Amino acid sequence: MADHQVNSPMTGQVIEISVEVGQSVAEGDLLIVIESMKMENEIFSEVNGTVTSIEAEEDRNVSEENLLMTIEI
Amino acid sequence: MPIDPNRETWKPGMPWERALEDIDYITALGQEMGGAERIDRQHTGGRYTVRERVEKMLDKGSFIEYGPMIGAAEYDDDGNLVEFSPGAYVMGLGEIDGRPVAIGGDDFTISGGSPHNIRKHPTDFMQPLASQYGIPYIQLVEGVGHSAKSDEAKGHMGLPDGALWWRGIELLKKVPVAAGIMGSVAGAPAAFALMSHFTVMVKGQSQIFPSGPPVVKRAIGEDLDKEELGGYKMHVHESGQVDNVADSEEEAFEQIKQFISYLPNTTNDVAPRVETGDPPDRRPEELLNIIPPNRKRSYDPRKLIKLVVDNGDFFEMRRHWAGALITGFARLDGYSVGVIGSDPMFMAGAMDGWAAEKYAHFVDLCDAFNLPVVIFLDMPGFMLGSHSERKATMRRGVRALIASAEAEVPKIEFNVRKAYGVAADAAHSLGHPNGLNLRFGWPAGEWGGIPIEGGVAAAYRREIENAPDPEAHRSMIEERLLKLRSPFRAAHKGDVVDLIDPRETRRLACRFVKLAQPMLEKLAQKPKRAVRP
Repeated sequence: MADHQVNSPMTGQVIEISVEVGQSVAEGDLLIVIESMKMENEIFSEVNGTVTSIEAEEDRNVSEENLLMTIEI
Repeated sequence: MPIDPNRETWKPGMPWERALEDIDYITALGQEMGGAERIDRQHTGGRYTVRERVEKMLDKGSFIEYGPMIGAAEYDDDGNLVEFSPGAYVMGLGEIDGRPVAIGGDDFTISGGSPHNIRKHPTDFMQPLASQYGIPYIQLVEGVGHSAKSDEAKGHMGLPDGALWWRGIELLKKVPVAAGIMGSVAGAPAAFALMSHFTVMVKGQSQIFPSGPPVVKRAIGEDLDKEELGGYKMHVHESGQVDNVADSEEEAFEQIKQFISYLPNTTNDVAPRVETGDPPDRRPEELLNIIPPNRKRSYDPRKLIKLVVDNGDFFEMRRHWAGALITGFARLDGYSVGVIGSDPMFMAGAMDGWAAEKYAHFVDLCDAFNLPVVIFLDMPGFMLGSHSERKATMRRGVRALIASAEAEVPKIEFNVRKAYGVAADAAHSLGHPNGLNLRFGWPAGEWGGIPIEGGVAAAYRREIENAPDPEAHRSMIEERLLKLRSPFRAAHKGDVVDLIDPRETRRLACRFVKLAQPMLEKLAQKPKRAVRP
């Protein structure tokens, strides 16, 4: 078991969180949508695992490299 | 087969047949490289020996080796060979799909690939050969560079003089240079590897750095393993030092073969046309609706590119670095082209400092090898914010702009959606006196100096603040400007050659590449500068 951290690839506003804590995710699943540069940027899972914590909040800004959520793999 | 100390060695005056036996005998000793134990160690680590690598890269039986008998040889007083260990480099001339190449690689089974006490080096033969013959140069690098032990042997520490490099730099001006980074590579071998037009490393097997973990720990106290310090995550994903990553050595060889397949033999040639069997007038129906109606939504830009190019074959370079921009090679109607695309799925496709650097490098590469450039632009502008500022985004953006304007190869640009500000100008450079630079717009095209939202906020700030209902006033101005964004209005003014049905993109791109061929022939005659990696 290892923790995989999902960090924001860019600065912007979280407009949608598509998963919940405890949920299983597979590689390629939509995790979160960040609006930035007038685009809805979809962040997909790079791993298979279970979401153990979500740091991001909807309608809040995030900076590049901010922790969005943790997935246990 | 170890050396036989009792064997009588051929000497002048003895029969030719005996000489031939000795040629076979000594060559066979050389083939044993650093010995069975070291070869086993190479294989246990999941790695091929340099001889296996060369064999796998080349067409069967095509290798002509330079200096298989070069090595440290000791003869006794009677003139019999009593010791032989081959030089730590294997090189020669070979063919890939019938095309001549110069190829070589470090023999890591001997002293870790570091220069042996005898001289056998690519600058002796392989580099001048590639330069004189005008053929691609492939280096399979696995060595750790200078050894402190060699200073002890020589009895002095030499002042670095740079003499190692000029041939490599000359090659960058003349022929395609591709490097496979096959293991842990440090020091001079690392620099040789990176002095290339294309580099690939093997996942989990290759690392590259000026100095490895022990030296790093001694110098600055940082305690990292070699993979953390110089593995593919560091250099293919994060730093961009190495272009591509492969899952296996075989895949790395395949990538090198693909890379050179798109390039001419020299910068003074034009890449030959290949029969691909894909009709130039094919209409990819899916292009019509590939751009989503909601302009905040993304689409798969690689799918777009693959729908246009011959048979969907697209060889991407620097895929994992500076992701807002896509760069790679493809064919259109059989002609080689460089492809640049935006990736709206990564940072909205906005150009940050790294994407700008990737842009400038790729355009330089295409210009050096006389490849026309096909651009699929969806560029919202420079990436904004403090993170992007730290990458010197504007200065690097200007660099991309200059590279693009100076590139004399013709470009064709499809404005598939956004094209805003100076960042988009890097792609445009329309009106350059030497360029057949064609711009087409798709119906989703929208462009300008600044997008409406930000533009209104900046230019109408006071007017909006003073309005009775600022929010409503802002919307009113935005609505007014929105009408101006129609690409038809720009088309009336001649901003584009034409607005087109996206399904016509392939046909037009193929026509363009064909029409550009006479110009490419002329550009090929010009001397070229070294493409700086």
